[in-house]
Amino acid sequence: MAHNITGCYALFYCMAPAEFSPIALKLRPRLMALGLSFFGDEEAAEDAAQEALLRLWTAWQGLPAEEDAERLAVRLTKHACIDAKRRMHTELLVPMANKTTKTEASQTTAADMLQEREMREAVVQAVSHLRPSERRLWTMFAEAQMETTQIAAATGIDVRTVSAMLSSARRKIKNELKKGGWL
Amino acid sequence: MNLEKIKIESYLEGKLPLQPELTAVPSDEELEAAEAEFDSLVAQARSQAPAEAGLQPARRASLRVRAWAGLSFIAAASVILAFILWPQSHSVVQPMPSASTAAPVLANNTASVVSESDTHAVADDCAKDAAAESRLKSLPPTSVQGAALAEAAPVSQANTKRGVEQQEPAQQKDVPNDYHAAELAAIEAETLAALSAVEAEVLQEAVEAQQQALATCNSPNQPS
Repeated sequence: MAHNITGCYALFYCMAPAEFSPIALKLRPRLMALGLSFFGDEEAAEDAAQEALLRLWTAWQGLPAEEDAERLAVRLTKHACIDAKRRMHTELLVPMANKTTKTEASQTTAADMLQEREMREAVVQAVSHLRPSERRLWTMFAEAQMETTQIAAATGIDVRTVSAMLSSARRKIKNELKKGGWL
Repeated sequence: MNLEKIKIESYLEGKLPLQPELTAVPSDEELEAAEAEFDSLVAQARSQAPAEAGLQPARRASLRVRAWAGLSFIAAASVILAFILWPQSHSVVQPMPSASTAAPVLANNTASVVSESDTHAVADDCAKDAAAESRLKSLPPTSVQGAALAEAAPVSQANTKRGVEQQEPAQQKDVPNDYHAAELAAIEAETLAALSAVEAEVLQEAVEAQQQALATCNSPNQPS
């Protein structure tokens, strides 16, 4: 499956960002049911559904049609369930390696690399102090760069509540980073 | 340090992702492998618990709660029903019977008590009276004997009358049978004591009168 977003609009029809919220609202119950059938736990199912919708948003603009979005969302939810199950058993964290940081790091000095790595670890540490519900919302906001309406559609939470929870999470992360001397 | 500070501020504003791996879409191979594993695990779980396979956990929990609530309701209803029905058949304290139901019962009880014990006692007393009277009749008549007979007869009649009269109020009053039995026993004892005292007195007087008569007959000075 192609997830290349560049040039999508020019060649053929792709899903618009505004279409995400209604489709996410429609898909959420189905994804939750999938998670429940696997875990039997509502919170774990919620985690899996939100993680799937977060990744779906990343691939959103590369999807040609709504049916593809639905199919990908189901597969992403199943993947999230299996991934969470493996994490429960092994208790291993996913390593932070990725291509973009490697390409950026190759152009910087060793000291800069070390300092950026420490900064990322400090941010990860600060985010880990958040409550699970806050952490999910913050990941959608800061990492997936979703808007509050899209986060509300993906989580089933009211838009104003999403804004309040994001403000609270930002304040907590700032405080943690201030304690570490990063701000 | 300034560069990191700027990056952090951008991150806090939601403009610079620092953990892209959290949003990365897995490859097709990873998705297919996860899908196959997911389906096999779910099918395995459903084969292990076929009865509850189609139920969601929330639905399962609500069914369990309803089942326990139903059982608790049935148990409570059974206890209340048993408590309501208990005094009618197994009460520790016997309830006082009503006048309509007590009358035949008391009549039967009183009749049996009177007929079996008190009537026999009265009959015995009458037989004793008759024996004493016949013995007195065999003796010579004296004024003392006549007085004793005159005295004994009303007492015997009075005791007999009291025993008979005792039956009537016993049938009318709503009182326990034990009370009547005790009262009848007391009356019987009183009657027996009175009869035996009178009988002893009469016999004593008869013996004295006989001795006097013998003495009079045997006296040499008395003219014939």
